[in-house]
Amino acid sequence: MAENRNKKMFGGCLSALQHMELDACTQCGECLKNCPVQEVTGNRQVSPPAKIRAFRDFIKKTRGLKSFVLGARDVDRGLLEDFTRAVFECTTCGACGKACSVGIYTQRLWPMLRREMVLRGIGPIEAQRDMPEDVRRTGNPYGKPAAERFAPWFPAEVKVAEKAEIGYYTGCTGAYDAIPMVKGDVTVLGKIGRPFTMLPPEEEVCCGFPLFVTGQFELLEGLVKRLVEGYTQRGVKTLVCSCPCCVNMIARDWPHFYGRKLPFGIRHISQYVLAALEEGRISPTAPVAESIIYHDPCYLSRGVGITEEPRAILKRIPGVQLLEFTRNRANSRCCGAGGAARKVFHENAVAIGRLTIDEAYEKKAGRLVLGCPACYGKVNEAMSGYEKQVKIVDVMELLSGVL
Amino acid sequence: MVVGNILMWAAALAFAAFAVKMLMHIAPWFRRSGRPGETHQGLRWRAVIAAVPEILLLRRLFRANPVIWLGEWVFHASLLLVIIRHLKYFLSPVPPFIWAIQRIGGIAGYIMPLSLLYIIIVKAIFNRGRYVFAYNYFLLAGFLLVSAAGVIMRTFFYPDTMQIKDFIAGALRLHATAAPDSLPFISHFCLVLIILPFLPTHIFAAPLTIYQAGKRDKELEDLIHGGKQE
Ligand code: SF4
Ligand code: SF4
Repeated sequence: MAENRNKKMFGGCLSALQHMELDACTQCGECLKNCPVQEVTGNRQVSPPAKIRAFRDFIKKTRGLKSFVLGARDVDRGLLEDFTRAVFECTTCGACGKACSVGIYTQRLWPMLRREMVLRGIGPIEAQRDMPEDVRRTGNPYGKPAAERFAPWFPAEVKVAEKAEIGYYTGCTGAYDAIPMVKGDVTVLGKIGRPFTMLPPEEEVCCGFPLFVTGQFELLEGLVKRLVEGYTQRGVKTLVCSCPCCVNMIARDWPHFYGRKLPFGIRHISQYVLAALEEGRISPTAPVAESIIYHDPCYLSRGVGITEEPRAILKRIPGVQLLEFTRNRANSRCCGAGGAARKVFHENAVAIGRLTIDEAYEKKAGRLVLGCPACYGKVNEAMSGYEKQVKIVDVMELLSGVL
Repeated sequence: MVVGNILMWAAALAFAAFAVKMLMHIAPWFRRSGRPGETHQGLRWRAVIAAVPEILLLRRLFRANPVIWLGEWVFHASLLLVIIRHLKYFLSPVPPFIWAIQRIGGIAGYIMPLSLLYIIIVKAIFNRGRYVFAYNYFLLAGFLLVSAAGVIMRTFFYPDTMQIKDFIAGALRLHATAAPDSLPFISHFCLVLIILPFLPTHIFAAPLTIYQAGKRDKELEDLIHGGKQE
C-alpha cells in the first residue's frame, strides 16, 4: 500500500511557482548560515538545499523522463522517512528564504512539502499527529477544555461588547500557554476605550495555523468558515490579534479556505495600539528605566512585514532604552518554537531559544521583549535552569503595566 | 567525414537531452493556480522593471555573500559575452552587434576560467566547504575545462574559422560535413556536449523566482498595512 503511494507522482501539492523554486535552487548553501536548526544541530539533512535536492530526486523518480518511458520508480521508504523527519524538524522560520540568493519563498515551500508527506501517510511525526483530533475534540491543538480558554486569566474590569466593529482573536497558544501576553492585550484594548467584541470560548476555535504548517489541511475549511461567520455576525469590521502565526494565517490563508475575500480587515495588535497611542487614547506614564531588547518573531517580521510598530510602541514608554539583536527585523533569528517542530524536537527548540537569551544577556538587556506566544512559552522554558537569566516580557504585557 | 558524422549526431543527442530535460522541468510551471499560499503570479511591469537589475547584477547573492558574488557575477557575465560571441558560428549573415562584441567577448573568454578558479577556491577553502555539493563541483570543473580548451585554442592553435562555420551550418541542418581538423576544437566541442545535458535548471528558473521574490517583498508592504481598516 505504502509502496504504491510512493510511486505516485511527487509535487502534486506544489504550485507552479514552487516547482519553479525547486528548479531555481542553485545549491549554493548561502541560506545555511541563517538556519537556526543548522546552528544547533549541524544536521545537513535539514538544510534547505538538501531538502530541495531530496524532493527533486523524488520528483525525478516519479515524473522524470525515465519514469515517463519506463514507468515510475518506487521511492525508497527509508529515504522518505528521513526526508519527512528533516522537513518536520525545520521551524519554518523562513530565514533561509530571506537569505536565498534566488529568492525562494521557503516559509511557504516547507509546509507544502510537509503536506505531500502527510498525503502519503508518512508525516506528520509523533505528537503533531494528535493535533487534528485535539482540535476536533476541544477546538484547540493542546486538547485543553474550552472552559479554560479565558476564565483563568481574563481581567474582570475589561468589558467585552456583544457586537462591535473591532474584534479580538486571542489564539490558542496565547490563551493556554502565554497568559501574561493575552492578558496584556485585553488590558490595553480595554484602556483604549473603544468597544471590542470576542467570540465565546467554545466558539473561538483554532485559527488553523498549526494544522496548516504541519500539512494537515482537512479541518481548515470548517474552522475558518466557523470563525469568519462568528465575527461577521458580531459586526466585526477589523479583527485584531497579537499572535504572529494567527495573523499570518488569517491574512494569507483564510481567504483561500473561506473561498473568497474576508468580510473584515486584519490588524496586528501593535498596529492598532500604535494608532491609539498616536491618537492620544492611551499614553504610558510610569517609566521603565531599563534597557530592553526586542526580538522580531519570524511570522511577524518575515511573515507579514511588521517590524516598526512594536518598536515604536516600546520607544514611547518613558525611560526605555531599546537595544537591538545583531540579526533583527526581517533577518531576525528564530526563537526555536516555530513550525510545530517544538512539539517533537524539544531539545532543538531549547538550544535555539538559548541563542537568543545569550545575545540578550551579552548585550546586558534588562528585559527580553517577545511578541509571539510560541516564543514566549518556549524561551521561558529555555530560560528555566539556564545560567544566564534575563527577564522575559511581552510588548503588551509591558505596556499594560505602565498605562 | 566519419568524425563529422559522429560529432553531429552526438551534438543532436546532447541538445535533445538538454531540451527534453528542460521541458520536463518547465511543464509543471504552467499548472493551474489555486493552491493555498499561492501568491499572484501574473506579470506586473513595474515589478519586471525592478527585477532587471536584481537579475543582471545577482543582487540577492551579493547581499548573501559578496565574496562569492564577485566570482559568480564575473563568471555569468563573461559566459554571456562568450555565448554571444560564439553566435558568429551559428548565424549567417552575422549581425553587426555580434561583430561589435568580438573583442570584448574574446577578453571575457580569458576571464571566465579565472572566475571559475576563484569560485572553486572560495567554495572549497573559505566558504564552508562542507556544504558544497559534488554536482556543483562537476559543473564548475566542466566549465573550467571547456573555457580552458577555448583559451588554448584561441591563443596557441587558432582553428580555421570557415571550417568551423561550415561544420556547424551542416550540423544545424543534420547534414554532416567534415569536422574541422583541429584537435583543440574537437576537445572543446566534445566538452560542451558533455556538460550540455547537465546544465542546471536554475538558468531558466532563477530569473523568474528572483522576479517573484521582488514582487512578494512589495506585496508584503500591503498585506496587512494596506486597505481601508478601522
Ligand atoms: S525555515 Fe528556518 S529552520 Fe527551516 S530550513 Fe529555513 S532557516 Fe532552517
Ligand atoms: S540560498 Fe537558495 S538557492 Fe542557495 S542553497 Fe539555499 S535555498 Fe538553494
